[in-house]
Amino acid sequence: MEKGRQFDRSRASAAPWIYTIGSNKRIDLLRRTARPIDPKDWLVIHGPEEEDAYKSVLAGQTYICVRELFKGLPNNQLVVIRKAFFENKTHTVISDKMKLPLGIVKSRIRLALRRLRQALEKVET
Amino acid sequence: MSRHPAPEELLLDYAAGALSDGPALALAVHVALDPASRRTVDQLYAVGGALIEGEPEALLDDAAFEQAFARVGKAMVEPRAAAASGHPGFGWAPPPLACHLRPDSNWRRILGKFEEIRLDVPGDAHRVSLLRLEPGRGLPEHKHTGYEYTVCLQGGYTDETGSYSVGDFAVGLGSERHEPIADPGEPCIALVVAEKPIVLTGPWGRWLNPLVSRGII
Repeated sequence: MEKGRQFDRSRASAAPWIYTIGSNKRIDLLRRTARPIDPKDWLVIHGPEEEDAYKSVLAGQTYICVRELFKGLPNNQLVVIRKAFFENKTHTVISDKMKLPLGIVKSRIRLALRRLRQALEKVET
Repeated sequence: MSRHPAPEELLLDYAAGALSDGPALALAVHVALDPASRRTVDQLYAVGGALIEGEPEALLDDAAFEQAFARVGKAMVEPRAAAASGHPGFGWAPPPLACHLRPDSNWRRILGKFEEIRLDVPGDAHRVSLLRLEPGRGLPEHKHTGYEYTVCLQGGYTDETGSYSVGDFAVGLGSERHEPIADPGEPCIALVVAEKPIVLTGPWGRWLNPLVSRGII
């Protein structure tokens, strides 16, 4: 395999991992809003476990697929998913703010995930 | 794979961190028990990662960059904490739930029909409870005024919408009445997260509902 693609693959698993850490840290932060946060604690990183290697490969494969998939995803599906991740809105709030029926928001999420799964199955077989 | 996984839009809410603590606990418990939902959540984390990459780059000046890296360099790498070993009698509680249980958490008998442990989830207005039903016994017939999430943890139960066993997730919403009855075998234990108090629809409902809405029962 050429170098460029190898580089891409090794880098690929980092983004979902960073996202997971970021989201877990933020959840911790929200839980502890009543208490001051120790910056030392904020920076504790847990050592990898055996299971993580497998998960990281899986996450890497998933991630590459997801990135490809985004290029072909209709904008109305992408918008709903972006709002969930970046504006931390539940699908109920999204339907309310975008003045879309709840059923439409649900079906856009489900359609996007179905396409993601189809793309992943192709990679696995 | 469970027969009743959580709906995908709720898994997205959970993966994006948009849920408040009560519903997030219900989803965390379901995801811990259901490999298919766990895989969906992992895929959604990848979606989150891919979205981050699509964002315009934020410029960090050299000093801030150096400082950030210096802090990362000093970060402590610690072995992961061992999964909380459940307290005796709470062996059915998966790790996300175990940390909410205390050795002195006791089942409380309600209306002579079922038992409950109320869980304290600070900063969340949801009613978060564990319910235990003996086989063949039912919860009083009731309807919901808000949504209600149920995750089955031991045994199983059946209501008008189907049969639920360990790991299954149910969303109760709106005015449909339901009367869950525990299946034969072990007592049924479920985590129930309710947005608003339930409304009892049986013969005693009129008298008991004011107490339910005030959180007395």
